[in-house]
Amino acid sequence: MARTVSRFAVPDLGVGVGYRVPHYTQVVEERPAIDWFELLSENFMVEGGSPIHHLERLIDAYPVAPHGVSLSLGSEEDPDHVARLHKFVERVNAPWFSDHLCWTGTRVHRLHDLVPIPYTPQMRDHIVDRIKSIQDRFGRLFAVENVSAYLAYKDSILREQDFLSEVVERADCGMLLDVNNVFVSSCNLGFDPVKWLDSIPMDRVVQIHLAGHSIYEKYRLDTHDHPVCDEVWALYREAIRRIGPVSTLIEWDDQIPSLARLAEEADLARRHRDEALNAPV
Amino acid sequence: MLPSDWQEKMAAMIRGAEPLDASWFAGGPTVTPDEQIAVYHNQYRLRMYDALAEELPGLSWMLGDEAEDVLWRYLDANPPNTWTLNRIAARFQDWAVAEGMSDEQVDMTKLDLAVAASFEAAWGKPLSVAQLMEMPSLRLSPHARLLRLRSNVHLIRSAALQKKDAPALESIDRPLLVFRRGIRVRHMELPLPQWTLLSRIDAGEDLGSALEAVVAEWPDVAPQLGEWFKAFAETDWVQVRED
Repeated sequence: MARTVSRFAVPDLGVGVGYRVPHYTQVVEERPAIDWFELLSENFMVEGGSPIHHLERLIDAYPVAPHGVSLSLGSEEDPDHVARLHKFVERVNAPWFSDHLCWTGTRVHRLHDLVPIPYTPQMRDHIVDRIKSIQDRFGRLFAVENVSAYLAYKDSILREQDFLSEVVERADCGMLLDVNNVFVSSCNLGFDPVKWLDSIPMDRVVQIHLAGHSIYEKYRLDTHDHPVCDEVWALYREAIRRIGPVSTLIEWDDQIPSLARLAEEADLARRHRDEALNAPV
Repeated sequence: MLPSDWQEKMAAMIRGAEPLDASWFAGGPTVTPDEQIAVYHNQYRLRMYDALAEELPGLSWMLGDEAEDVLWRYLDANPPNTWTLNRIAARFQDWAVAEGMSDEQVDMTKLDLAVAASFEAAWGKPLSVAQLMEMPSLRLSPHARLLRLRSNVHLIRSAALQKKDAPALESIDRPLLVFRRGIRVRHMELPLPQWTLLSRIDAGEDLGSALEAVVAEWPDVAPQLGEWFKAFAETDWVQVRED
């Protein structure tokens, strides 16, 4: 297996964590040894107050990357959302920005969930057009993330990994590889997660997400409220062996632990990353 | 085959506005097609309720065991229609009035919404003494909201959110200003003349006629006006109108 070199001139930011409300003040005052922070875009697409105050202090102190949840690539563009996102992305001036391969509602009804799309050529073309459009207007690299899936459509005629590969190639964009989502979907829908990794263009991966999930009787749910599990660490090492050093982020959005505990999880990710990077290829 | 309006239909299923129809879904090794779409329906119910309760913490506390029923009736009638969950309660006040909720519940809703709006509003533009001397057209700063409460729900809300014993509900006229100092949202009861002056200014009345009207109604406040405006400027409650 040959290790890939990224086709994009983006930096490896190291291992970061999400910048979440309970830690806003502590992060900017104590400057913990965390390499970088991811910003949930929609939390900062406001006019002022606490979110903007803490945003400004953070971007003075750490590298950041914006990550959104409401672009809804699988449906129509919302001009208000895109205009605000553009302003926010300009403000933080990060090397890339990202959102998900999904739809989150219609113009009339918003679901505020990352709902999978049917993997069809028509949907592929629609998503490619939307990514090209936004990437062109923003003048900045966009990275699209695979979601955790709890359903599959009968109409899908492509596999998720093939659909995603075609999207990123045709749109000429980056990929945010969520390793936990690959694992959760593999359990829920029944596929081999390592073979999934082998099917995607690794040279387009600019960032990795890691997270914990919940196990229910019949399925797994991407809850971001647990430590990363052993199976996901193993899959992360597989990904790093293929990609090489790439910015990695721990997502922990519910039952949020102390900043010290988050930093420990980031340290653990760094150790797994180093182990994978030092393994023979 | 998915119909052309599949997203509208699927969104309705997930919201619970239409019965779940699993015929579009393939199922998985451990879940049936019905169970697959049900995961999204159940997550929607949990997520929307939590988001709305977070926007309306005072009202949720006041409603107690009734909160779940009331908040769900609102959500079913007013499903989220914007990209941000911060606006999920935007139509709640009108809905509460139309539903015949009590004055206290409507007041608590107004207060919750004012606090939420102030939290993320734009910064004010500080007003200087030199600007004031020119009798400019003024407006409230973006983070400031005037409320005319009919009860002491602001005191009840503060106590409840700090997990302290809440005072008894009291029906009384309370002119209130919700505003932000730094990044903290606060509220303050104002004397009625001061509240009226700010209200007239915010309605677009020119400063001279607003002052005249207030002094005509409360002649005793005339000597205090200079101090009031000094305080307004220091607290960043008003700014020069730019439109």
